[in-house]
Amino acid sequence: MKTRRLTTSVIQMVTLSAVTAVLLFPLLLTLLTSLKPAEEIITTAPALFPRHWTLDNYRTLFALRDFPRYLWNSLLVASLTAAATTVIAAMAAYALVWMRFPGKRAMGRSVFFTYMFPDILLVIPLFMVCYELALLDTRTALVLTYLSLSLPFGIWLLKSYFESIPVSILEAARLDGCSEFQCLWKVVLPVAMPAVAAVAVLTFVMGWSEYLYANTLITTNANRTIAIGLQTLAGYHRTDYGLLAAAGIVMVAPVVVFFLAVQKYLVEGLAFSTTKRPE
Amino acid sequence: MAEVRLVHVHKVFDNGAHVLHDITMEVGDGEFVVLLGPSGCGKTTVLRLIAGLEDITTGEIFIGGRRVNDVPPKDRDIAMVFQDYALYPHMTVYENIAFGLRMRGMARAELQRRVVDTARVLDILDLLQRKPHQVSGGERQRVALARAIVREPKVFLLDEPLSNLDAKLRGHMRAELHRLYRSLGATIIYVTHDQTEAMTLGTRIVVLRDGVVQQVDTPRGVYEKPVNTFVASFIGTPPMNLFPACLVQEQGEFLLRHQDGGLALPAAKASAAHLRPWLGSTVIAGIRPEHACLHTASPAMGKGLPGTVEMVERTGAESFVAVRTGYGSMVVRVPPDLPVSLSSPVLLTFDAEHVHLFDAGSQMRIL
Repeated sequence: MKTRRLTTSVIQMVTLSAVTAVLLFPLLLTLLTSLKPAEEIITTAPALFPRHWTLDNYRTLFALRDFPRYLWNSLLVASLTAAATTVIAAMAAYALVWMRFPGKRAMGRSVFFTYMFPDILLVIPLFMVCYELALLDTRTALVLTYLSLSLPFGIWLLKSYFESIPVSILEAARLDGCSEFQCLWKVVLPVAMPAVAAVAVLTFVMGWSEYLYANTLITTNANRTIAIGLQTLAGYHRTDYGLLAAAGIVMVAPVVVFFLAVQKYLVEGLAFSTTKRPE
Repeated sequence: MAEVRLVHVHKVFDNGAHVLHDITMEVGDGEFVVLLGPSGCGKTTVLRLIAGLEDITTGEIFIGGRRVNDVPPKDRDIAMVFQDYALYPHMTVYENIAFGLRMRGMARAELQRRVVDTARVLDILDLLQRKPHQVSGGERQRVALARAIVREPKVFLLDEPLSNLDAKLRGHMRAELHRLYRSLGATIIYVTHDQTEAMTLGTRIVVLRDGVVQQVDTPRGVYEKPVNTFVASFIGTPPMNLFPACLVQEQGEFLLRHQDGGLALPAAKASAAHLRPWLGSTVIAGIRPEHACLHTASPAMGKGLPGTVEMVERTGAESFVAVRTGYGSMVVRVPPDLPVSLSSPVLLTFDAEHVHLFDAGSQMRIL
């Protein structure tokens, strides 16, 4: 019995390690490339690890006039998208699950309507809308566009989670003197932290790395996000791959940091016992 | 503390289900009233209407003389203990108890004093820093009670608070609840489907069936004078035996004639004027297991209802024997040491003093 369990564990570990290695290899390759001097990157005898470790690519990257600006724009757009999505989706999901209003069911379903169209189909209409609203080439346009993409997902995820919270907890909160907003803020959100964290992480990543809309709606260098900025590093005749790799790593870093920060909530509490356990 | 009054209350849900019909009842100041009925009879809905968690369709509810139909739950000054306790899982026991006071803006020192005092009363002082999932079921129950008590509300509403506990703990908590009730002098409305809880805790019992109040009376009144066959068979473990019999009058004496004999009703109990409308017709006779007698020695020795032993339930202090008769199965309470063997022929006799009579049509009590 014990041997079998050990064998299963070993097989699981080996399989998971193999999958992880395949998934992480491009990232590792990028990281190592970013730490190599140029002559070690374009060479007839490429090696995985740099012979001369260097941070020159990063120095060059941050010396570029626009690069910090791209980073800042991305951070701003992604954070605002994540924050707004979480707040709006939480309120919408709360209303859809626990409040009574006419057209509730229809509204709940129409939330998914935007998912019926492929992104590329929405590019031109959204461009027109932003043009009419004089929002072209603004970060506001990006945040609003991302919200229209992230909200259906956020609402759906939070709604499913909220539905698993016993309604008696909310009723207890109402009897304890909470308004609907306080019920959401003081009781529902803390209990639904894993789902809230998931929505925040996923919308942040989406806003951080989105390319299609950012490339269409933003036209000047000042408002570019890092996903678009990265493309400007690829030259027409010659590309500095070390620089590009460094930029890639810098782009991934905040996402990893953000994920690590909320990982605790994602994992913890999924098995949260809310009211009673069978004795 | 306050009294609670429901006047002609109806509840129809959005799906058209009419779950409460014309509920009118009054719970006096400091009373412990138990709403008792089978699952789905609407007792929890009554509680939720009083709490304000559901809107009433028609009728009026008064708490402490104030009409509360349109008053939100938080302003009704009531506290409720839920069947699943509904503790906030992300808060410690202390925060759970303090939450209601904090929401009402109580000063920190006063709040702390009240929480600690309440925790002491319920013997959960050492749990205050734990989360709900770190304490046992019985302890969680106490926390839920503490959360209700700490607010010192006008009325306590308890929705099957003991149903998630094991039998031993339930007995213990029942005694504890009774002690709390006496020390608080609170108005309590308690929902249960467990008649032992109802009989031991309630000062009065409201028996509900299909959203209609059947009887409002003291536990003793409900047990000894059930208003209809439903209450008669719902209250009491095992339930009252019911069988059809014909009511006749012979030589000035009222007799219940059944297929295997008859039973004379005591003159003091049966008044001619009262029973006349049913003379010559079939009525439903009821007898509790403790008022029936089992004769095993010689089935031919006297008058009675013959039958065969179907099942013997020995609970320790007493035994219950189910006897198959011409009217179906009847249960008799016997001393634990009475030798009874399965399938043996027996004879049942009834204590006429304790016979209940019900109208065969309306099922309402006659005697």
